[in-house]
Amino acid sequence: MSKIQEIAAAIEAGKSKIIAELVQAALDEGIAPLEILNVGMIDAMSAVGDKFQKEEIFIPEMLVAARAMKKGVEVLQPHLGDTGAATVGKAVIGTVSGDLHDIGKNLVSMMIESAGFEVNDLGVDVSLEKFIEAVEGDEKVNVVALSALLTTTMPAMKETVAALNASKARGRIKIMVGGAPITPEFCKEIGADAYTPDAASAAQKAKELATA
Amino acid sequence: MTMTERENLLRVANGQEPAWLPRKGIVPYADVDPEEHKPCCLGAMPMLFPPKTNARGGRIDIFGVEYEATDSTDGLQLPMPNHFILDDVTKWRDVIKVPSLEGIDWRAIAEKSVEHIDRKESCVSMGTHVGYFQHLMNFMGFTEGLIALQEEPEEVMELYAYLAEFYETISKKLIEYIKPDFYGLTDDTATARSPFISNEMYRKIVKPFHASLAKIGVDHDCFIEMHNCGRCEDVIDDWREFGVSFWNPAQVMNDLPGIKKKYGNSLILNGCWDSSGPAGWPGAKEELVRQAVRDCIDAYAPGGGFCFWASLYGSKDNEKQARQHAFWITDEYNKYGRTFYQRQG
Repeated sequence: MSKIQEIAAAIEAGKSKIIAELVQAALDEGIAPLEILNVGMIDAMSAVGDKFQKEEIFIPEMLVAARAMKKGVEVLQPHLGDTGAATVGKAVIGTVSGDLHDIGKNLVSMMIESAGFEVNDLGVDVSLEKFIEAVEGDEKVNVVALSALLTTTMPAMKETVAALNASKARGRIKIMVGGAPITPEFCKEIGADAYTPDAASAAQKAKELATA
Repeated sequence: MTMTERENLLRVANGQEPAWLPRKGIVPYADVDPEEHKPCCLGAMPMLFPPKTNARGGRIDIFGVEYEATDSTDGLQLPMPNHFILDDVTKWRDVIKVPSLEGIDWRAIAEKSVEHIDRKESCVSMGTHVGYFQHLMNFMGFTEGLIALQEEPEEVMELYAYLAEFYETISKKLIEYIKPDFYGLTDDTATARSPFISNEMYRKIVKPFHASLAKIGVDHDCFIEMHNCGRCEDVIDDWREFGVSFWNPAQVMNDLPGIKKKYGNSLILNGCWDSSGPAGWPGAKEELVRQAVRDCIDAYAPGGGFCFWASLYGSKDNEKQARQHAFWITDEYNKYGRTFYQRQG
C-alpha cells in the first residue's frame, strides 16, 4: 500500500492518532503536499461522504473521519503555502436565529472544510446581522450555508436569505440551506441558491457552486 | 354504561378497534375543555429532586447540565451550546455523579405524582428518563458524544451502566406505588433522515440498557411505550424484543403504512403526524390543517392500532395564531376522529 493509500485508509477509518505520522512520512518521502491533500485526504473524505449517503456508515464514523482529516491538514498546512495551493473558497455557516441545534451544522461545516473550503463557523442562534457582517466583511467568502431544524425558525431562515440577497456581497456568494424541515420548494420560495439534504451532498454542492 | 376514555384506550392497547379514536398526547396551545372529554391517559409527575435554575432562568438537571430555551422552541429546553459538562468520556467518573436516593419517601412522592389523575377515567403513564443515548449527548454535545460512541464504546457502556443502576432503582421503587398502565422509555436516537448511529452500534451499546429498563414495566404488566423521533424504524424489531407495543410520535419519515401492515395492532402508532409538513408550519391555512388531520386519521385509524397526536410549533410572538392553529387540529379531531369508527360501521 502506498503512503497516499495509507493516508486515505486512515482518514476513512478515522484514525486520528496515526494520521499526523503518516502525513509526515509521506512528506519525508517527497510526495507533493497537494497530492497528499487532494488524493489522500479530500478524495478519502469524498468516499466517506458517499458511504454516509448510502447509509453504509453513520454520523459517528463520519465525525471521526473529518477529525482525522483535520489533524492531517494541520501537518500539511505549512507545506501548502509554498505550493501556491488555493482553497476552493471560504464558507460562512451557521444555524439561524432562534435555533440552538448544532449537529447538522457541525457536520456540514466539517464536510465543507474537508472538501477544501476555509470555514467561518458562526455557531448557533445566529442573527441575520451577524451573517451579513461575516459575509460583507470578508471578500473571500463565496458560500453561505444556513441551517434550521425547527419549523418555527424557517421564517428566520427566510429573513436571513432575504437580507443576504439584498446585501452588497450577493454577486460573489451562493446561498445554501438545509435542515430537517427544509425542502427544495422552500429553498426556491425564499430565494436561496441550493438545498441539500445531508452533509455529504452539502459539501459536493458547495464545491460545485464555488467552482462553477 | 358509557365507556370511559380509559377503557377506550385500553381497547386500542389490547389490539381491539376502539369505539372512538383516542387522542393520546396534548396538542400544544390547545385549549382543552376538561368537561368535553377526559384525557385518555395522563402522566405521573414524581418530583424526586427540587428543580434548579441558572441565572438566565434555564433549568439545571441533576448532573449539572444547563439548558436554555428560545421563543422558537416554545420553551423546549436544549442543553446550552458550547457549555457541556463532559469533554472526555474516559473522565466520566470524575464528572457524572448521581444524587443520593437515601431517605426518599417513595410512597409519598408516588402518591403525590398521580394526585391529578382520575384513574377511573384516565390511564396512568409513568416515564423514566430522557434516554441513555440522549444523556450522553446532553453531557458532551452531539459532536463529542457521537465520537465517544465510536471511539470509546466500553467507557460509554460503563457510564450507561452507572446511570442504569440509578434510574432502575428509581423506577422499581416508584412503579410499586404508581402502578401505571403505560411505562415509557424515551431516547431520540435518530435524525429526520437516518439514525444517528448504526443499528449494530445501537444493539451493542444502547439496546441492553433500554431492554433492562423496559423489563421493569414488563414485570408489572404495563404496556411499554417508546418515544423516538425521526427515522428510527430500523430498530423497531429490537424494541419489540423488549416489549414495546406503543410508539410515539411515529413520524412520517418512517414507512408508516408498511409498519402498520407489518405489525398490525400489536404495535400502536401514536402520532403519524407530519410535524414538519405545511400543516405544522406557522401561518398554515385552516383547510390545509383540517385536511391534514383527516388524511392522518384516514391513513392510520382503520382497524385500530392508532392514537391521534398532532403537534405544532407556535411562537410567543404570535400566540393567538398558534392557538387558532391548535383549535383547528383539535376541533377536526373531535368532529372527524371521534366519529371515525361509527362512520366505518
